[in-house]
Amino acid sequence: MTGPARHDLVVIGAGPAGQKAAIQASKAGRRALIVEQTAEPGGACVSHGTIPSKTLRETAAALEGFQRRSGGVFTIERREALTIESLTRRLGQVVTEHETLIADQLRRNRVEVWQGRARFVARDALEVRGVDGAVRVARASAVVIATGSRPRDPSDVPVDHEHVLDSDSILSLRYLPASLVVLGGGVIACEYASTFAALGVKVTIVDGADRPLGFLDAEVVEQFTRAFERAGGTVRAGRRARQVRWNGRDAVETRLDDGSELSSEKLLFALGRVASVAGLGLDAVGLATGPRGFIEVDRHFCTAVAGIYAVGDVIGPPSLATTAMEQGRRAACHALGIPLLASGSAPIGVYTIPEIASVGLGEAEAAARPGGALVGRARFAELARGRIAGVEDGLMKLIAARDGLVLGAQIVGESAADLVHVAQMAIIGGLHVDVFVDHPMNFPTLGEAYRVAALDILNGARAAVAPDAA
Amino acid sequence: MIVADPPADDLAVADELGRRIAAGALDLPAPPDAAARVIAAASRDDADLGRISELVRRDPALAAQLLRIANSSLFAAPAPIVSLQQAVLRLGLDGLRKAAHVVASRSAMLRVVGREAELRRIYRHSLLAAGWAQELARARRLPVEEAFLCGLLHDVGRAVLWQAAADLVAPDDVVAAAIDRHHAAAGAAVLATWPAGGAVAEVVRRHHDPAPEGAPARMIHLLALADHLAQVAPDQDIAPELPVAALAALALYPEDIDLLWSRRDAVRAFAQELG
Repeated sequence: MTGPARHDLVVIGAGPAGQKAAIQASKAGRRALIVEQTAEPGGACVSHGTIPSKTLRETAAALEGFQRRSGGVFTIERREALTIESLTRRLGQVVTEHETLIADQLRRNRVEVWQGRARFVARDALEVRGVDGAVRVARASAVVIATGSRPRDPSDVPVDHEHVLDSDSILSLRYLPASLVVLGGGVIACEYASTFAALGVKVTIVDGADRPLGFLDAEVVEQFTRAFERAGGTVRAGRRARQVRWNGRDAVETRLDDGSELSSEKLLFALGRVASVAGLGLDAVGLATGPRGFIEVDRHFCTAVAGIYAVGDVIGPPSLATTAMEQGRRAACHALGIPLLASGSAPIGVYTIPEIASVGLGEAEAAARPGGALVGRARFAELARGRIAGVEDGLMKLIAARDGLVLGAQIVGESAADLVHVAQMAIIGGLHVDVFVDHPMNFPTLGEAYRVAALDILNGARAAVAPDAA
Repeated sequence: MIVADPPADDLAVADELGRRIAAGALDLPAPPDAAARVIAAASRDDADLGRISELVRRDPALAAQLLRIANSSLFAAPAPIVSLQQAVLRLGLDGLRKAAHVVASRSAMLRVVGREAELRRIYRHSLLAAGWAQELARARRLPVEEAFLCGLLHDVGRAVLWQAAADLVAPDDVVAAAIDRHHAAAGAAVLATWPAGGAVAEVVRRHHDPAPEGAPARMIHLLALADHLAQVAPDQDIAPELPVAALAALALYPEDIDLLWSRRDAVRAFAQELG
């Protein structure tokens, strides 16, 4: 064992949350160390999460968009033996470039990186073991746990990563299956379900809740569900799988709680993720996960143990890269006494087809405020750009206070994740909806939805939401 | 197989084999027609088990092999499978592709007259490597079928080069050293011509590259590790043997290796049943 190294901040995990925590510390002139078990920084986000899934989705969305825009003039035929690999041909390059970018960024910011597995031996000390078994010790006054999450390992679903897959192994499929059952109705489940449906796979979502993506605006989700079903998908809401088995031949057989049976070539188990804390030695410092299996933190991301912080997926939902990065940055600032501006309004992006985005208050939350709220709607199919692009689904809901102050936006449709940033800036800037009417946006663009939604609010009547109506 | 640099005075043999590969002068073994047709048919979007069953029925050797594989523990048949139809159903599309590749590699690797013992040893090693590659892929969420094929086919170039070297007058150890040097390139040349072989050709070509870069780097490291594991006797301590670069690239720590190594009897049984 080599002697202890002293840093101001040690971060365990080099995913989006860990990177930002370390870089923030380094930018403030402190010595930052990241301990990462894989060879390349990036975490699940780069290896089998955000980056690979969005690369596959990009191909699927381009295909769907082209077919829609061509209005039937062009037809697209899939090659007979269509491999996932051929659809993500750029994936290796994208992942490698992203890893290089992150490594360069860490190097430029003088963040030290050790490859190894970390284990707490004291509140301020970690034992780090390399792949060759060599051990060294890292010490710091503050430690940030950013180890992410992994798919839940269900006792009743036989995940074999060949026929029954989870969200970490779904992209290791070599061939595009003819059919896929997706267990779960959360972000990961719906993103993969709509991507595979757009690629011509017969997809069935099975989820115990009344509707998928329950944390999002119901009207927005309804638009998504309609588009998913138009692409050939099926949603079995309010149903749970009672038994899943690979029949040993050609199909995964799923029996639901209503007695019905589904047969599919593959099954994706996407019912929850759990914190990756195995081997961290949390008990050595008196730390434990909460009842839901995640590390519990306060608003500064401090755990129950002074000097130990936790950020990103390891603390549970929303489990989005955007949120994780901001959590990492804020934890580092708090740990090192770096002044920080008040928290901004972080958007949520769900990369389904069509995509969904949200920022600020939702309709129900806004309506519960004293004085209630106003809601303006713009349907993409009624915008010039929407008609040009053959958009059938697409809705913007702009939420404002009674005096017109922008409070939030919920969007479903093409470019939703980009469009939402305009509302985010309006919220941060304390703007009123009039600004979207008085300052025109390019015509024809989907950005015009802001003007239409703002006019809907200003025109009043049908957008009004009584506080007790929520 | 581990590559050793040939002695300087034996470079002429290595150069000659290298020249033959570059000139495309190798006699590349095509997979047997029936196996190739099964691989292609099982890879189609609209693959039909009935049609594949018909293809298999036309080739008695392939049918016999599929029956044997369908009865192996790999496919965990609850009762002995005696009919071809049962075998096809039991194997499923993924299993049929795997089985057809096993048949194809066997026919490609065991074809050189006079070298049967050496080639049988290489073939057994390839089956073991396929088993380990599959285990490693499962552990690291990499494509299981692709890993299996990489392991199975990584040394196919050796068989081709033993054939190509038949007319060279040189001691066996000199030829063997030259084959060590060039087998990866020769294997890639073979696979580039096989159905569904293109995907693994690049990995096979670079499977002795100690520091691979680019997209297939993880699969190359995986294959290097599988290649090593396949050479370790079951009662041996594996830790000192393993390439650290591959362990680091795949984030495999001593406890992960211990867990993998605990599966050695199952992997050997799997290879034995396939062989």
